[in-house]
Amino acid sequence: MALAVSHLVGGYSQIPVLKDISFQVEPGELVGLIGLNGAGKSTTINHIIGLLTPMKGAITLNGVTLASDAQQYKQQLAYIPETPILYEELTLKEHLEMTMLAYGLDQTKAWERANKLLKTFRLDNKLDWFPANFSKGMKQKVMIVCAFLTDAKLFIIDEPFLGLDPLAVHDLLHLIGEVKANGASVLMSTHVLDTAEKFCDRFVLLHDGTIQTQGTFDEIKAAYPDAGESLNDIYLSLTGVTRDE
Amino acid sequence: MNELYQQRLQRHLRQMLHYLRLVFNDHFVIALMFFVGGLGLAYSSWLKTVTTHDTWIIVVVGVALWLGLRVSRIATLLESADTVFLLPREHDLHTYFQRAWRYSWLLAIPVQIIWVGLVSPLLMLVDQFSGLSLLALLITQLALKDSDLTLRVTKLYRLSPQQHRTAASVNLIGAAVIMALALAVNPWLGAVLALALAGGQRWWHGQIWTHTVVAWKANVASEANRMLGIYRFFNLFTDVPLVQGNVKRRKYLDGLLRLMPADRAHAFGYLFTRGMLRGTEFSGLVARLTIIGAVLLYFVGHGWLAIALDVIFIYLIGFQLLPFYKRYDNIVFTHIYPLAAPLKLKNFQRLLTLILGTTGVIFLIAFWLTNASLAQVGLLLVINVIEIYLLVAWYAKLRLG
Repeated sequence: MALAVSHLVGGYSQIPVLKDISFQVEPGELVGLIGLNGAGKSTTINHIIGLLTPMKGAITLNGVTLASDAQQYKQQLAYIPETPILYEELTLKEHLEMTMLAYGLDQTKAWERANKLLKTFRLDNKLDWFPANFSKGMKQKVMIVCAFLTDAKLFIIDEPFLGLDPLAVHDLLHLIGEVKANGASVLMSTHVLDTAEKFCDRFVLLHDGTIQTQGTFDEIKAAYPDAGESLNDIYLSLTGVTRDE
Repeated sequence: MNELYQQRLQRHLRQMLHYLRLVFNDHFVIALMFFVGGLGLAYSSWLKTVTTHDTWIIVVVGVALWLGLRVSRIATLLESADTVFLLPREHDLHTYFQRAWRYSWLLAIPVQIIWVGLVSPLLMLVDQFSGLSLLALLITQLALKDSDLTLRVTKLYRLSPQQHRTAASVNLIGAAVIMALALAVNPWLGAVLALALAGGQRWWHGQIWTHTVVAWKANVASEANRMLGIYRFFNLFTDVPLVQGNVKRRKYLDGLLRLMPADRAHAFGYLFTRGMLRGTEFSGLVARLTIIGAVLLYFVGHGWLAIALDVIFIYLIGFQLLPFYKRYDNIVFTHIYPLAAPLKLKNFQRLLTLILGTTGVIFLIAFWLTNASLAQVGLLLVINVIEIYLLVAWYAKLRLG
């Protein structure tokens, strides 16, 4: 397996947000991390990318943990945040170069890939601009290009669909398919459940800091036959939040 | 309306006091003492060389006094919400403006008095001015400032472009002519004319304001501009949250950036150098302190005072640059890049060395231009190298490591 989270207990302060979470992401697999606001999705992601240290449990990435070899661990990881985060003083071109430098990528090869990505997301004529002044969707695209520039083994994508135009969503899903075919894993958190239902190989449903259920869509449907037909219905009934309508 | 201005003024003064406390911290007071002392020393030693034959100085004094009139504006303390909330009481705003006028007057007087005081030794030396003549000149200057402020209040109301031009040129040209007459013919003549001009401006103001409307948008914008200037000033010494440094592309520096190493070991350096050169906040700080320091060094001569100044300015720059190390800590990627942990500090130290080294070289040149002997320049060079080494290798590591 690529990513293994086992018995993770963690959070921002003394009080744990995540209560004993275990799941895995296999190579070539796209796993959807689903949950309501405050369910613990972002906390889980922050633990995996190393911003938070687990109180208990372990996170291993192809056998490496942050504690055993931080650099090797980080080298395998690329991250696309929910809100685009950019350097105010760097141009688009320099954002890409910075990523190449930080990940120690071969410049010629990386630029080949970058140019292809820039063309796909229609950013190729904005290389000398400051992306900090771009619109939300375009900033998001810069994040995507930077992340997919790397040769990461695990891509962590936090809510990628909001703010992107339909064409970009399509291109992103295509891109995810491409890296999957190359054996990389993708962990994606999202609220857009119908897209997730169509594209994710497996799901991890988080609720109140615990894993409600996990598995493929068919597995989940088989386990909860009365919950409904779509991921949306199943999720709503599983969280136990009822609406009086 | 009276109360409103009073309230705002109190709030404004509290805020200013708060910032002034931060500005006049220990570091700054020391630097300021050296600064004022150095300038005073240079001025007084220059005064000794002035004789009655240097009549050109009178022209310079006249221009300086005239330019001095432009200092300080009307503090209206208007806010953008006023355009909505005070609009219904537009007529009453005149009392508000009068309060603003009075407060601005009180602020402007000391500035003008100090200004006249500074040039008066020159007048006494070159033109043999008596005490009474100096008094007349002071009256002239204050009356001219009065008419300047009155016009600024009149301009808070909407005037036709024609009125704008006429009023402004009457004031500017009038002030220049009166100043020339006061210095060249008789200061008392200047005083009388200046008082007449001030009276005329007040009369015109009384005539015009009831027939026009308040120029809301322009007033709010100019007040915001005035506050921004004040905040910018404070921002030189302390962090003002209202002033965010902005980013300039500065393409002409790209050649300089290309000289820097761009490989994995210098990834943070790649980021730091660009952030430093293009962000106005830290680059502005370095540029200002370097220029002030170099000018001071040049005027102070090549004694121990100069060496002390050099050491203090390099320390001030280095010390104030340390927070830049944390500039990108809120960007998540700087934490997840697969880079060895010590690289960030190493890259930052390298940048610090480069900046302080450049400043040091500029200071050395300024010092050398004062006709310092080579031995003295060499001594300063050694001192600079030691100081920069201590700042970068020891102090920065201690504070940031």
